[in-house]
Amino acid sequence: MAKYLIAILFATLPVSIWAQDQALLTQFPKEDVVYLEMTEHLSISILDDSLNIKNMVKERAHYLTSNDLSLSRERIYYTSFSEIEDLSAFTEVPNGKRSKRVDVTDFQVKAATSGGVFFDDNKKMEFLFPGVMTGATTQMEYTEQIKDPRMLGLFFFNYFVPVLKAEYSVSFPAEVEVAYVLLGDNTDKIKFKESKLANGDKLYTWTAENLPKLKFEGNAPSRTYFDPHIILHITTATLAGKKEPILRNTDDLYAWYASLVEEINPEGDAELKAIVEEVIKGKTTEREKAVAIFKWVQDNINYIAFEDGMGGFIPRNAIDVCTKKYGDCKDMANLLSQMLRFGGLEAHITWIGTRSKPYTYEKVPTPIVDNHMITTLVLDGDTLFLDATGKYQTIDLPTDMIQGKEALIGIDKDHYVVKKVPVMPMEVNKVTDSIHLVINSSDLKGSGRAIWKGYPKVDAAYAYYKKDRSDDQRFVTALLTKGNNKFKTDNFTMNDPLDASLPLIIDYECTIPDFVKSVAGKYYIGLNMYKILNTQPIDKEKRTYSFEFDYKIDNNLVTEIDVPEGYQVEYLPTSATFKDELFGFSISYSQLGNKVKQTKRVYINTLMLEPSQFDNWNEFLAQLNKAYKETLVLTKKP
Amino acid sequence: MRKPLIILLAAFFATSVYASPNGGYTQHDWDSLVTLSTLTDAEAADNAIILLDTRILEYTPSSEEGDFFMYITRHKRIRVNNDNGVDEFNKVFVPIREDDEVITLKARSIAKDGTVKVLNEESIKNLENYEDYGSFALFAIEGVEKGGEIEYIYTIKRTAEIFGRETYQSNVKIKEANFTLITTDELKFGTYGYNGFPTGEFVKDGERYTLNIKVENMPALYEEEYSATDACKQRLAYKLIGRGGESTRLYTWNDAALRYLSTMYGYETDFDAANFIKGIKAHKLKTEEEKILAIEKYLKTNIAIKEESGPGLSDPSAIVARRYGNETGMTRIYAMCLNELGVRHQLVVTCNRNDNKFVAEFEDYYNLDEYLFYFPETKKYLSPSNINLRLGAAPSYLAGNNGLFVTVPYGFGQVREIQPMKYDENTVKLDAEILFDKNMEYVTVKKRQSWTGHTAYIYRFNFEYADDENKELFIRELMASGLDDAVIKSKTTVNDDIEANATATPLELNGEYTCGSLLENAGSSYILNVGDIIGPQSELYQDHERQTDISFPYPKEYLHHIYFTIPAGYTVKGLDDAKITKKLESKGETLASFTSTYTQKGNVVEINVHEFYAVADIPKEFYEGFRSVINAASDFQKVALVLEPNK
Repeated sequence: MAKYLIAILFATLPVSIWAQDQALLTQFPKEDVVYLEMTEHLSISILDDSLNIKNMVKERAHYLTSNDLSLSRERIYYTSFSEIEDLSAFTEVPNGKRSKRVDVTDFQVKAATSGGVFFDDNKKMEFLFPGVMTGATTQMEYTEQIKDPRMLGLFFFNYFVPVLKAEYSVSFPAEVEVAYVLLGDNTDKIKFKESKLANGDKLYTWTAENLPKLKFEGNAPSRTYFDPHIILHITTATLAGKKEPILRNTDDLYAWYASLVEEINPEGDAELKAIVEEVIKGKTTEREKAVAIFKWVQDNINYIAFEDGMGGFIPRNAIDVCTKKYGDCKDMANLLSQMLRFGGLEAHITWIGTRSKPYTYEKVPTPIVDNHMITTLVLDGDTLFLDATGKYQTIDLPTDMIQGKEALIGIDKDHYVVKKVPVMPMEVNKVTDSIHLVINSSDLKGSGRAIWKGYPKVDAAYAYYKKDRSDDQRFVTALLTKGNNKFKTDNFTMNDPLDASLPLIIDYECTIPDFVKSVAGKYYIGLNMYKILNTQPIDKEKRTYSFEFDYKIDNNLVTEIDVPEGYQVEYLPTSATFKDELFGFSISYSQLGNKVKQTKRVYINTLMLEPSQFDNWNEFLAQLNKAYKETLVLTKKP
Repeated sequence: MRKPLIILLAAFFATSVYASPNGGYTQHDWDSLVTLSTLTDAEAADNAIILLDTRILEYTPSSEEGDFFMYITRHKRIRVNNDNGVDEFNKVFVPIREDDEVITLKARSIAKDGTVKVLNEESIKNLENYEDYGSFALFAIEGVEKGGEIEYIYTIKRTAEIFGRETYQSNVKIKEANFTLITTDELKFGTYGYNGFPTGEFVKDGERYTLNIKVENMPALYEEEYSATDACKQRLAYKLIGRGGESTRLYTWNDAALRYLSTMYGYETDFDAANFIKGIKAHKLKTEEEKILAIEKYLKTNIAIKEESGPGLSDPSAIVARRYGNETGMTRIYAMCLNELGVRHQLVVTCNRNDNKFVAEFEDYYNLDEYLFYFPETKKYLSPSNINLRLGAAPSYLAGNNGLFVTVPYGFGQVREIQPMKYDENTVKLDAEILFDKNMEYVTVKKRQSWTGHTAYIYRFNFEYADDENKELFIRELMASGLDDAVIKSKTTVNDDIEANATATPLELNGEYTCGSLLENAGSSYILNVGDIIGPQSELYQDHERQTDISFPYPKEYLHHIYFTIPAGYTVKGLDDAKITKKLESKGETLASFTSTYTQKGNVVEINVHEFYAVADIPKEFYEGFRSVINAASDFQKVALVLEPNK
């Protein structure tokens, strides 16, 4: 009896679930879950002469199968800049032709430290939707109380599963002005509507329907490049009769940033100056001084991120960072700027978004635009972007993740400059390897010199840093391996891979066992022992997004082999080239006396391969892979 | 997973041990004067050296509660030689449990010039409820520099625990490791050292009994290929074995067996197994096995398993209603259903063999954290938590380890081996035909692949749960691994339903791809990289002395058959390279073997490869022989044939 009573009480949905499911199954035959609804409403009002901002979130998910229940575990992330209120969640569990509602009762608050961060005060509310099964619908609603009017966040219209309806709206009184920008692909499909609430507040609504689930593609840039999203900001608010600028433009954003860093170094100048004096002792030119100071910070300050509260925005006192010997990007940027200034140089702390943020300060004058802080140094009329979190960079090499990005350079309290970080040309990122080979029955014996410059050098330094054993043999072998996995480094000398000021140079002797194919008086040797980009073409049918590279690169390999006594060249492979502004290769062979020489160059001269370039890229790969198949044949002299 | 048991046992302990008068605890402190330690050249070349790792456990009676507390002290000092060493050790996490009392917590750095910087107490942060790891006090040590040292010490007062484990060894050398356990005559402890960690004797000192173990120069243990590195670490387990004046050994295997019997089969719940079985229509099925399989299928495809504890997560009735639960709760459901069906079975409790060895001689309850059911009549296993398996084999990460087999309904406990599958039950078969393009620009490879045993179980799981994109990538990896330029032309899978994991039916993947890099140009001749068809094979080096025994996921057998018709007008050369034989034998048994042979009949060339690893664990003494078998496969991958035009 009790059972029946409960069933009646919970039978809240008299509609036919079956009809809806059938339609959805036809529409999404391959999906396990769809979002019926994903809405956020930002309500801006004025309460006691200050802004009261609430973001009301609602999500309804429907399970077409029970194959993937991972979404039934819900997490709501929040920081100290917001609070979660009025959270309710339930599942509508199918029960015959009706459904019964089962509420979530167990909500857990957990620490949710972001990746790469040692400590922050980010939290997450975690819970599991009960009874999720085929035909179930889950619903979650909560309100996020936003404490700072500059931190309104952003809204994506798509999700990990298809979304039937995504809606973002904002309501605000006449005293408040807002601006927004729609970003990503297909924003023309987002419908905009302006209306009024009963109290006279303006209501803007953006609605999109039937959004496919977001796609993951290897080497694609961050989803902010293509997924449709909206960034809204309050430009002004009239409070107590006074019109206050909030975030109208970069000026306002900078004014706020500048106010945050106004008093970051309250003390310790004398102490820090003394350290700087010591560091630049004997250095005469400005460049020498800058190099010495940058290296000192890289060597002595260890990256540890503490990002609690405004600590996520405000650098810590330079002298504190200096004595604690650790800090995050802001702390390091501030310390470095301060030290450079004490060294008599022109340096400024600088806000910047890494390449995962495709925004400009003009279009997105909100804190969403950036996520990083560096130091700008003006040296001999050049502007250099020093990122001390890059332990093995030189002053001329910004970290690869900020190449091409706008930097907001803080000149003083009232002045700033926006400047672009250069993209390092491929000549800077040059890898060369010249090897001389001798045939020793089925093995090849080689001696050579390999050099890494620019970002490939930085990568090598990090690889060296990561090794857990003290011997260098494995490190060197991993860098040099060519031919096959029996490759052995017999001897080597190398300079310190962690010395940022020099390219990495390895002189080596090696053996490549079982590489020479020796059949019936002939030697077959594939001189393409290291096949850069020996990959399949991009499938244009399937690939939607651009293909991103960390940096431009120029690989140069010279391979020379002795023709053994009593042998002659039977087949000298044919040379090949493919030249394009963005990528290309050349492989050429020549014979000089008893030596055969292969000169090879493979370069990538872009950070982003756009879909329109895929055809050309595939042609490049086809020709390169064809060239890789060429084998040198030596035969016994008659 | 082990949390619920610890809580259960801690509760039991709290009510069953009565205290003698209050004791207090022995202070342990660092040296007030400190100078940098001297290192050998080899030590100075490592990223870091743990100079001191001292762990003290002191059991002391509480005056008020009538039970015991323990004081846990950790004292660690580390030399950091480079950036990596600094980054590894300059952040400290101290796990704090509910009701813990932090008595002391301090840290300091010693710079190269001897400057000491003591951690500011305000710099200690608290991280509450971090993922499923509980809470932590955490701090970054201030003033750390390369070539300097880090030292920290803390003491925590905690409700006494009756067993525990201290793992010392890591990939950093320890110059001095100490373990001290101080107790009273009321509580008697036993210890067991894993992987060479020594044990010692308690010494009476007034009212106290003290065990001191010191290990000097414990080497760093590095990750090695084919190794269960974690299971090979030096560690010490301790547990309460007796109480003052009584001679009965406490916490035996039988005690554990009875406890598991009652917590699994005697758990109080509204769950009605008979109703549940009816509800999923399993009662109508004919055989016991069909019924078990139906229950297993239902539970594994409808209920999500979460590795956490919480209200309702371990209660069968709540789990069935909410469709999620933890491993303990799921095990209860199976236990109750098996009882309801009246199937003869045993409950097995064990640990992952990649984490630790389960030894019979010491009742290390820490090893009791994975559940299995065993059916003696059919010798089959059922894993309540591994959702890719079905009734049959034990999970490979448990098989080969010992487990505590608990008889039902009497609760006798016996430690014995969980039987692994045989190598010829875990097969990988490949049948590949190579077809040449008429312009000799590429080859087409027609492949028929099949798998049985654990390999099939895992692959079916991947097929079942991967989305289309990942499924495609996975198939590509199976068909043309290492051939980056290969283009898949067709593919079909057979018997890929996960329920087929209850059978010995092979999983099949048939299809074809074209590949240019398999056929290289050599003037008028061509090179056929036939070995690449079996995919990349690892090459084992011997640049460092092998530290750990060889460990595989499971015994395995490969059978490859590759064939082609020589294109008209060509002769094939270099076939003798395809003849390879390497074997590892011990006491007349073959532990590992690689054999490849070829035949040429007319213009048809056939190559056959037979490779197997008969056992999953091989002692490190056999490393050289094992390496030669592994490398034989790598040699085979390098086999290339020359197609020469007929003169």
